[in-house]
Amino acid sequence: MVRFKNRYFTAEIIPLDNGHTVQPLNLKTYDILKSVLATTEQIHGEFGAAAIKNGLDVKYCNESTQIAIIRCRHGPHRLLASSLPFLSSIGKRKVQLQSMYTGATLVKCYKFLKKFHQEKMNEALKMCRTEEEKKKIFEIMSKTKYGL
Amino acid sequence: MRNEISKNDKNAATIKTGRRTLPDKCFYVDTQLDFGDYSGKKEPLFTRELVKLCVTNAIKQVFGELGSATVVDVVFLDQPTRRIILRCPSSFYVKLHSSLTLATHYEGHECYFRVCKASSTLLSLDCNSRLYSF
Repeated sequence: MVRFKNRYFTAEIIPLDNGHTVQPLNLKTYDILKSVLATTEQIHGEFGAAAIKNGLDVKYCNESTQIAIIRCRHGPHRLLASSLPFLSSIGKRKVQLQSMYTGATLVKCYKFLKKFHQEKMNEALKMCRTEEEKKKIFEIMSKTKYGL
Repeated sequence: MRNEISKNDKNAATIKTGRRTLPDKCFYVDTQLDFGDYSGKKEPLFTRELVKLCVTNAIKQVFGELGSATVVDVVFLDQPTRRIILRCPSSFYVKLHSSLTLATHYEGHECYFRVCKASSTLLSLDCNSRLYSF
C-alpha cells in the first residue's frame, strides 16, 4: 500500500536584532510559509520551490517558546532541509532558524518537544534558590500562547 | 543470481584482455539558438562569454544557486548559424537539457534553444547512423 510520508522539521526561531528594542516576535504561519518558499526558490530554483509546495505546512507555531514545526513531503524534504539554514527573515524581522529535530510523525516531534521543555525547566529551576522564584518561573512557563 | 554470474564473466573477460570502460565524465550537447521574429530589432552580440552567461542564468532560474553549482563550458560556437556545443558533467545532463528547454532570454531578447544532438563523445555529434557508410 502506498501512503504519503511526511517529514516534520522542528526549528527554533532566534531573532537577530534584539539590540535596539525588545519587540514581541509576531510569529504567523503565513509569514513563515512565505519566507520558506522564497528561500527555497533562491537556493534550489523554481524546481525546488515547486517540489516542496505540495505538502508544505506549518503545523505548530509557538510565539513564547519561538518554536515552529514545518511539514514537508518525504522526497523533497532534503531540498527544504538544505535551504533552512539560509533563511534570514520572517515577515519584517531578521531571524535565524536552528533546526532541532526531524521527525517522521507529529507525535514524535511533540515527544521531543516535551523532553526539550522539561530540560529547559530543570535548568531554570536549578538557577533559583528560593521557593518564590520557583513559583514565578512556573507561572511564566505556563503562560504560553501558541497558534495553529 | 543470473546477473551476478554475467557480471563475474564480464570482469573475467576484461581482466584477461586488460580493457576497461570507465564511466563517462562529460556530456556534449549540440544546440541551436533561435530568435523568434526579430525583424526591426537589432541583432544581439554573440560571443562565448555571453552564451555561457545566458545558459548559466537559465540553469540558476530553474535549479537555484545550489543546483547550478557546476561548470558548463561552450566548446564550439558558430556565429552565422548560431550553433553552440556545450559541455557539462554527465551527471548534470538532465538538468542542463531541461533548463535549456525553459530558457527564454538572451541579452534581453526572446529566444529559444533547440537541442539537436546530445552525446557523451564529441565525435558522435558529427556522425549519423543513417548517413554514415560502414
